Amino acid sequence: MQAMASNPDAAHTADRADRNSEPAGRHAANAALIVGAVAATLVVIWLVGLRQGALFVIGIGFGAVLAAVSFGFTTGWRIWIRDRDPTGILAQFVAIGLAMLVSIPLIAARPELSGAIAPLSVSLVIGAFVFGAAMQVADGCGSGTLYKAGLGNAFSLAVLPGFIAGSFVGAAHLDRWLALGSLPPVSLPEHLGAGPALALQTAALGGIAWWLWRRRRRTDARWQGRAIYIAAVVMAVLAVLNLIVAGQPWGIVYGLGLWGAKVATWFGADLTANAYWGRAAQQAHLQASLLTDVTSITNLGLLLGALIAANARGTARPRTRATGPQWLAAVVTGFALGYSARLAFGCNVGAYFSGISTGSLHGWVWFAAAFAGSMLGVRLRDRLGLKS
Amino acid sequence: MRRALAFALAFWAALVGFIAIDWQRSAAHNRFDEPPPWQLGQDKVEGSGHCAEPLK
Repeated sequence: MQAMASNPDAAHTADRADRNSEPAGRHAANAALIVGAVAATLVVIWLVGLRQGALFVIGIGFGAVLAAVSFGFTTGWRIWIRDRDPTGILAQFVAIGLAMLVSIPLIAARPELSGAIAPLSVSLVIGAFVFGAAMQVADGCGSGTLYKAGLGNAFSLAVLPGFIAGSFVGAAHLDRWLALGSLPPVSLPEHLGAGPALALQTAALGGIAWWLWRRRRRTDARWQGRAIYIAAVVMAVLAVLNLIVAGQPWGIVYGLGLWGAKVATWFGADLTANAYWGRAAQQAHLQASLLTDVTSITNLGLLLGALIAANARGTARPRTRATGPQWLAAVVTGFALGYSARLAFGCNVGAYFSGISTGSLHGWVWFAAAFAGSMLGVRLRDRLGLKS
Repeated sequence: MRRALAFALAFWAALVGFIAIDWQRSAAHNRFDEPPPWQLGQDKVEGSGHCAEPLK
């Protein structure tokens, strides 16, 4: 099977050529994008208020920082599995750890703020494992697929519709999956206290980081220098701001599922009897504009921020070439990503990043199961001829 | 390059169209009932929608 050119290295090679050949056009496009972002923010504030406008700007920040250094959750795991390069995972731990140091005490002190606390279910383990495998095949997790689609990456554009549909259907089936078995949610700060929970999680992150560092073979497989760690610090700041403004941690997949549910209702689907979408809160979300939903608005900002940063770097609109089976794999994998993320109570953002940083035990279970799935996914990626 | 640009433009056109159609079909937004600019210090809001939210 022909290797696909949507991988970051190939994309960067092509993009370097673009960067050299079209600097003037790129600068003009960048100015237009920044003006467009300011205008879009004002429109959001005008239509749905200051809070949504602030969340839109926070989303722009997330997208910009992800695209500025190609901060990839998926790639970070893959370069450890393949090359024993811990850089990506260590940067993720820096972002999660710093967000945790503020989020856990804040949530403990302020009852109006919520963590990403989810049940410990059979569906969590299965969903996280499948998500971990699928994100390696798709070369993008929740945030990665979204921001690459915004850049015009054709492979991610093929993944995204399936991701949206899968998120919608997965949520609609959640009650049946939970019937397989589930323990109540465990908030470590509520069980142990904020201080001991912080100490325990810091020790766990530090212990894993130390183990990864001891077993490293290289540190330059993908990222060099301090940029990715600076990006991790900025991500932590944005995550805390998201918590303060939205009242809940950063998430992605709920918004995508809501978009799918809206489209389903436009085509006549009646979701009032569904265990998930039929609840009063979800019916209210379905009837309101997606601009009023806190997750959707950060998703939209993320798309725009990623486009601005990638355009500034000259890495927007990567060239993509894939075979028919690879395109089919993109669509199928997209559905699997969305469906499994809902069974697992989140993706790499809602469960791994936000779950751990707000003290949910489900975040750690998600991490373990998804990492095991990623080990399988990297092999599947090779089988499908998807390079990088 | 042109193909990639066409993909990007098509995606953004579809996204803006989706938001516009959704706005048209949604219940009218009451701008006098908007929440404060941030949640910190306000009354707790239930059911605002998160992927980690348990099914109650």
